Amino acid sequence: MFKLTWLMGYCLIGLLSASNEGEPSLDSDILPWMTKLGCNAGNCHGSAAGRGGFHLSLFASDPAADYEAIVHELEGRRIDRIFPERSLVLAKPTGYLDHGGGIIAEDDSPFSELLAAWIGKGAKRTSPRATLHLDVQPIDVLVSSSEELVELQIRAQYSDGHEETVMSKSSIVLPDDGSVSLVDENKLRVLRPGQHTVLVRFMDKVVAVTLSHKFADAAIPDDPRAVENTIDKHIVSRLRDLGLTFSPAASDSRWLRRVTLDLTGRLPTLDELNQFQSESSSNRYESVVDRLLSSEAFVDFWTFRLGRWLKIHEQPKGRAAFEAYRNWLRQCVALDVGFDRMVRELLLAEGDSHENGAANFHRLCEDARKEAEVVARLFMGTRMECANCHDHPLDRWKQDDYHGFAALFAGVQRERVVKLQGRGVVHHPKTGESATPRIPGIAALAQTSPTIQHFADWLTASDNAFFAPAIVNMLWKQFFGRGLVDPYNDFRETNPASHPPLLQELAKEMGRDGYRLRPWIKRVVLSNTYRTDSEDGDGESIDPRFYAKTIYRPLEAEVYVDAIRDVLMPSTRDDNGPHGVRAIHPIDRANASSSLQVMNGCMRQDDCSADEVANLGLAAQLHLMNSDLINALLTDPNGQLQIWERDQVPIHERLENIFLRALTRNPTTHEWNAWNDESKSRNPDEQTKLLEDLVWSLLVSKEFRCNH
Amino acid sequence: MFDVYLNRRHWVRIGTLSVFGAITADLRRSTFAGTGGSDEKRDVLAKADSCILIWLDGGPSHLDTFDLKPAAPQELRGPFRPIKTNVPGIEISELMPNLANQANHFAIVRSVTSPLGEHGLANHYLLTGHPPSPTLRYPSIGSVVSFLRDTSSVLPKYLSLPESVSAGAGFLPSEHDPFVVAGDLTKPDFRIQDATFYPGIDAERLRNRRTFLEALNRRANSMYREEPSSVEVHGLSNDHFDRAFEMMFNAGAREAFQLGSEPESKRARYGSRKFGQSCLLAKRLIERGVPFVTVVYSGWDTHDNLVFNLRDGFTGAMPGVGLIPTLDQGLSALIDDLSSSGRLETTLIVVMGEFGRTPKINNGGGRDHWPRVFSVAMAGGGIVGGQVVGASDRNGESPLELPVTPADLACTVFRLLGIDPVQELRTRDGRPVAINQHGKLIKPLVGA
Repeated sequence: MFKLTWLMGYCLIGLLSASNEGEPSLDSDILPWMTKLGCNAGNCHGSAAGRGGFHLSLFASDPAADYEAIVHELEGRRIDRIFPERSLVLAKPTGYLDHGGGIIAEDDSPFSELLAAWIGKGAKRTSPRATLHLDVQPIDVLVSSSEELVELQIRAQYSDGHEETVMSKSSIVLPDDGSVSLVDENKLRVLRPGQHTVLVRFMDKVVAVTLSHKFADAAIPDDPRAVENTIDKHIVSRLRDLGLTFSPAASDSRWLRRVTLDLTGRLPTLDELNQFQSESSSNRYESVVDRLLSSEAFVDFWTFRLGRWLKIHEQPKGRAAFEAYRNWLRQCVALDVGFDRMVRELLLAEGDSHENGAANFHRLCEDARKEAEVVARLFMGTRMECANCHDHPLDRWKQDDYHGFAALFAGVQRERVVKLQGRGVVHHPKTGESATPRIPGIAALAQTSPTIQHFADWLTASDNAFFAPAIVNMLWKQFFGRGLVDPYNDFRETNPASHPPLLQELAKEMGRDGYRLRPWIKRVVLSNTYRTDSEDGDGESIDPRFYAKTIYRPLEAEVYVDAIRDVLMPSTRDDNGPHGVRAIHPIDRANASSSLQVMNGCMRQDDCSADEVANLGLAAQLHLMNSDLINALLTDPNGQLQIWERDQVPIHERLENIFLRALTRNPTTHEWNAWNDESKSRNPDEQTKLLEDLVWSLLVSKEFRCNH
Repeated sequence: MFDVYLNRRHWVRIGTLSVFGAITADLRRSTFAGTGGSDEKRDVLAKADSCILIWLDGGPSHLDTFDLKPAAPQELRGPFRPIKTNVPGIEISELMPNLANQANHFAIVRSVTSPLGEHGLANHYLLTGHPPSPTLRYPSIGSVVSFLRDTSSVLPKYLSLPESVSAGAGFLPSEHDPFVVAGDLTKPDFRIQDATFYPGIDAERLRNRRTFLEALNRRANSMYREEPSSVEVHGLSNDHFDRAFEMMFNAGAREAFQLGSEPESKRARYGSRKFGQSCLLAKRLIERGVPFVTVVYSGWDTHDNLVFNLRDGFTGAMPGVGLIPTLDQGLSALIDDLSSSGRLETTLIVVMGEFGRTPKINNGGGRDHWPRVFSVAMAGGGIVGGQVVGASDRNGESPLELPVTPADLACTVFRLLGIDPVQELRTRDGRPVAINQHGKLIKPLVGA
């Protein structure tokens, strides 16, 4: 019996040797298969600690280490050159030995056969091989129906000059939601309308393939609104590709509320509303935008927004530093200093952080690695953290990039007096030696040892591929609720933008405008895309990535709290003491009032997603219901409701007025009916209270809590 | 060993050549199914109506609580001795005399193992049953229960006391974040924040407010449709403030939080500290139909001075009021109360933290992070008490028998609560994610 088995083993090897001319390569045959089968994934042997005592590099990013692990570790017991099928690395995945991961390959699978053949030939790694370029075709394709199959061609160019089709041994990663399926090994079927991303991985290269599927085949007529603006051109053409209709424009009053909130964090006043509605000139939109852009409120609000972006917050006993930092930022916003200059100042500032506000940037993080991560996220829109422990599995970043980048910041002295020249090293965890400073992704530099200065020069150079798109995308999210690349600080080769050419053009335009905020904002808010209505008449729901209409964006908690106050206490609207009565003024979220803490349910997170705020938790609901936040202002003697009461203003006037203040619209018939039903049988005193109740409801309604 | 697997290989080879090929292949699969879990039929057990998770934040030392190693070398065994419990053969720390009298009620799993030794990552793994992923925040077990369980109670379905816990709703709607009961529970007149009527507002006026809000949201909801595939999961019902209104309208619900209505002797029995009072509040909540409560007890990250932190609490305390005696007092009171009222049978209690501590005591007299093996205690709700499940090795370094992963723990909790672990949830972008992946039922725990 035993003999029979062994004999069959020989036959198998014999067969393979005959059928396989060249020797299988560990790097470009065996390891890609292991990736494809999931052996070296993060939840298996690719995890930092390995699995079952066997560690492989994540997605085969380190073939030399994998060779060691397979061939030499465990006294070489993982392979058996005489009887390859008795090798642990083969007997386990094929199920002949207990394997935590179960059976993942059949005996006659290409993987089993290649592995057996490779081991039989001595399990050698004679010529290490790297993939120089992975060519995937097509990478962006539009289909009209799921009948249309997309055939992929995948070719690898190796460092040793060879080139081959690697379709069968590449890993095709489909989106998890079942929107794309694989047919016959190399054809993709798009099952659902929309835009989907499929990743192709081979060796250490990953390429994203974007597949779009039309929503409807009907021809969309030309939209004259497509031509006025870079944004509209791209948005409308993408909608047309997908068979989607661009929503009509929002009403003037809705647009005014939207733009006033976005530019100043405030609701439009009744005067502003009346004035805008009384104008009929075609440049009335532009004049509103110009007025808002030149207001103090704009400076305040964008200091708040950019302060959040930069994570400016007050440290214990750090009031002076906090003030200096905030003042620096406010000055930048007031003077419309370009982002390139601002970021250079932040990166290069030194000295007393109580005087030189920008120097506080270096005090945000406790060490060089954290600072490198934050700089990459903020100014390059990219997340390098993964590359701390291993080469980034979904991006270009290598461990050398991460630690070399961190090494740039190793000399920063993060005390009250910030210095960039101090000593300090970052140890590369693999070599144990101090990492050579480097600018991420740039292998060799003219300078042997780059400094933060070199990095700042590189980052803000007009041809830098990261900086302008990252800034544009961060700003885009402020106006549209999501990034063109989303999440907005996760630029990756494998996370393509929804509208890549638009992002590139906007980045270029930003460069031409000297990276200044105001021209950029003006262009955005005057676009037709920004002006689309948010109301969806036919109830049709569409992926928000295509900007067919405006989505509901929850107000920041601070803006919401200020808006409540502005509606109920208009007389205190511009009452700005040194620390301000407005919640947006102290941009320090950690020390915010208790109301803000409750409303900012997601404070603990680094990046709050919009819908975290939109869907209020029970604690926030109870707070709005039972705390002072709204209740005290409803009955405040100086509040609008009590003033009207004293002046005996007719109830229906009060009601209309409050709707206009809060929502820039009149009550609907339905809303009038609700009011009349409840109020008709009540005496005047009860009606006053009932109005308070209605106003409370108005201020907690979704329509009020969102910008739309 | 070699022979065994050659035999198996041989069998399969023969099998593929014979008419029994299909059958042998199946046999082979089923041999491995236990680990892969794919073939195991995973129905629900539904023994428990509710769950109280005692979360020992920071990572409690298994070697000083439930898995002492008196025979280990001096530098490993630690300052505390084991004592006998009321179950022959089971010993626990001398700092837990009350729990020692209740060992018949709980089971100790001594072979929990995880690869994650950093607080944030390990928290996520233990609290959700999923290893952390950079792309997806998984919901905690309590949030999943909150999401799936319909209760008749108007109380929140998932609460955390007396502070928040690090894992929340994850990709589920944030309304399934735990409702955090903050405030000083040790005060005689403790009341939860914002849960009493504002002066001048009564139920009648709240009802008016609700009517108006519904009228207003009718309009907004017809507009708010930008998230296509997520209507079910991310419906906007919570925007109607329904639960908040119901809570305010229901005197019984508000009364649940009034610890002051408990007799002084009972409050004392649980211990005067926050932990004990939180256990008492947790008991009141589950008695009123809340399906999941996490009691957060922090401070277990004992990198130094075990004697001080775990036993004494403050210098010269006699007896000690450190972490373990406080745990012993509050938890034993909870088990007592629940078992005498008969509620323990339907209430699952899970006592765990994110990892264990290093067997070797460090220079500061403490122990550092150690996820490779640690202990979890469970009681009630379908757990067969009076047993030890699994074992660690001689020095408490690695699992010796029956390694149990955090995913297995979560799977077991879900099944006891009547939730099918293979059921799928949907993320915001419509991606289906199984409630529990790679976990399997810890059979001895439930007597299976």
